[in-house]
Order: sequence, then structure tokens, then C-alpha cells
Amino acid sequence: MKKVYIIINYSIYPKEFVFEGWDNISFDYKIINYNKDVKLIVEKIDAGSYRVMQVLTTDPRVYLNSNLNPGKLIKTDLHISGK
Amino acid sequence: MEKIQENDQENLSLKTIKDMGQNNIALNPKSDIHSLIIIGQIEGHIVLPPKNKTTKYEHIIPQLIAIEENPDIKGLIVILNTVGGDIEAGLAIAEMINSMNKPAVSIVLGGGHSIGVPVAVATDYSFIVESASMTIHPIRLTGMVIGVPQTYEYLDKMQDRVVGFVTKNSNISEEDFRSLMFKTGNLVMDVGTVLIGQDAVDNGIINEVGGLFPAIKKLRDLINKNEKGVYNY
Repeated sequence: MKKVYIIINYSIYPKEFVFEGWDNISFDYKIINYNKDVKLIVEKIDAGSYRVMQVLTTDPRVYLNSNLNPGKLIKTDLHISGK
Repeated sequence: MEKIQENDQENLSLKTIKDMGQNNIALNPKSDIHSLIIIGQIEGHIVLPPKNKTTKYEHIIPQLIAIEENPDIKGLIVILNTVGGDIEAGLAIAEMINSMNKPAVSIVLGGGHSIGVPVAVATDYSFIVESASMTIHPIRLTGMVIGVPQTYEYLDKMQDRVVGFVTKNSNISEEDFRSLMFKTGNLVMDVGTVLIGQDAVDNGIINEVGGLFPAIKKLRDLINKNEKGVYNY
């Protein structure tokens, strides 16, 4: 069954274009620890490389770290302990 | 975290000296103003398909908090090139920028459409480059809609939030803004108006036509004025 969703998308792009394939998105989500107290929601690209989806911390200064912007790749897992 | 960055920087400069025989320029000159780039779709409650370039509000809002409370940052410059997006996320960003104590200036480059309009006017002073455009059009509901008069009322209320915010923070009157919103014959297959550069200024939405230098100059002026009345956290 097609999912029913209601959203107000106030955009000049047509909704068919913006939401195309929306029902079929699947991510390989994972929550990892980055430098002790910062948690990140990441998408696994391949072994040892992740793409940042969201930063999980209440410290606003961490969000100014450009290495943790959503979409950035984290290559090494030396500093990361995942679960 | 700092340690990793420092090591990276050290390695990079060593590599540059080895490979190119020259020292690289300082990578980290600290500026006292911060730039916030709002591009593509403003992403809100729903994760959009990856082909959309998006600005995620759950990342922008803590950044704004950090900018406001960090004593090293004196002002904010917002660069807009957005096609619109989630109304609640856009208004959230706009309200956060609007309620900051630190001076903020915005530049509309390329496009500041739909929900980009409230974000552009949220700052203390706004600029638009001559070639940039802003589309003002009514909001629409996507998905399964129940065809009852209440749905129209709901939509009207949602629209009032945008109209209210824009008219409160710019020089355009509610009547004029609504007439731009519902104008016909301006957009292909849609109701609304496209304002290009000077038009946005003439209509009172944006303060001035200008690019990078006027924006930085204005921000510095505002910072200097603000310095006396600045709130110390």
C-alpha cells in the first residue's frame, strides 16, 4: 500500500520532482561515537567510511565543526567505536 | 577533536613543503563573523531523496545557538540560494535568526524562493544581487487532503504564518504581499510573482541591491553599533 503523507512543501519545485522515490529510500543507519562524547548518526558507505547524517549532542559548538556537517565523509574508524 | 585537526593541518603543510617546495597559506585565520549558507531545499520533518541538495534545520539551529553564545563571533552573514522547502523548518530558522542579539545580514544570490523569503527578511538588513530572483506564491498542501472547507481554512492559517512573518520584518504591507502572492499571469502554470533584484527592493521586501562588499560593510557597521549594547552572556 502506498504510504499516505501530508506535508506542506513551500517550494517552487514541483512535489513530484522533490519527492520522487521518497517511498523507496533506505539507508544503512548506524549510531557511532566520535571523539568520546559526540554521537553521530551515519550512513555506512563501505568498510571504514561513513557519511554523516546527523550530529547527536547538546553542545552547540560541536555543530560549528565543519568536519561533522551532514553529508561529510568520515574515512577512518580509528577514532570511532561503533556498536 | 582539536588534536586530530591540528595533526591533519601539520601533515598537510609538511606535504605541501615536500611536494611543492612552498609553505601553504594559513588554513585557520579566525574570523569574527560567521557565514551560514542556506542552499537547495530546506529539509524539515521528512528526509528528502538524496538527489535533492538540502539544508538540514536540525544542524542549522544548534549552529545559530553556538554563534549567538560564542563571544569570539561578532556577527552573522546568511547566504541564500534556496528553492524553498519545509514551511516549519524554514520558519524555525527564520525565527532563530530574527531573535538573535548579534547583528545579521543576508544576501540573496541566485534565488530566494518561497520559504526563502522569510529567511531573507529575518536578518537585521538584507541584500539581493541584481540577478537574483525571489518567487512569492501561495502555499500548497501535498498528500491526501480531505475536501472540506476546513482544509481551506487550515491552509489559510498556514499561509498567515508566512505573510505575518514577512510583513513584520520587512517594509511591505500585508495587502501588497498578498497581492503579489495571488497575482496571475506572472508564473507559468502557477499563481504568484517573480521579483528580480531591484523589484524586491522596490516592493519593500529586501533593503538594498548589493553583493558581498556592501553586505560585509553593513555587517561591520552593525557590529560597531552593537558593540555598546552587546549582551554579555
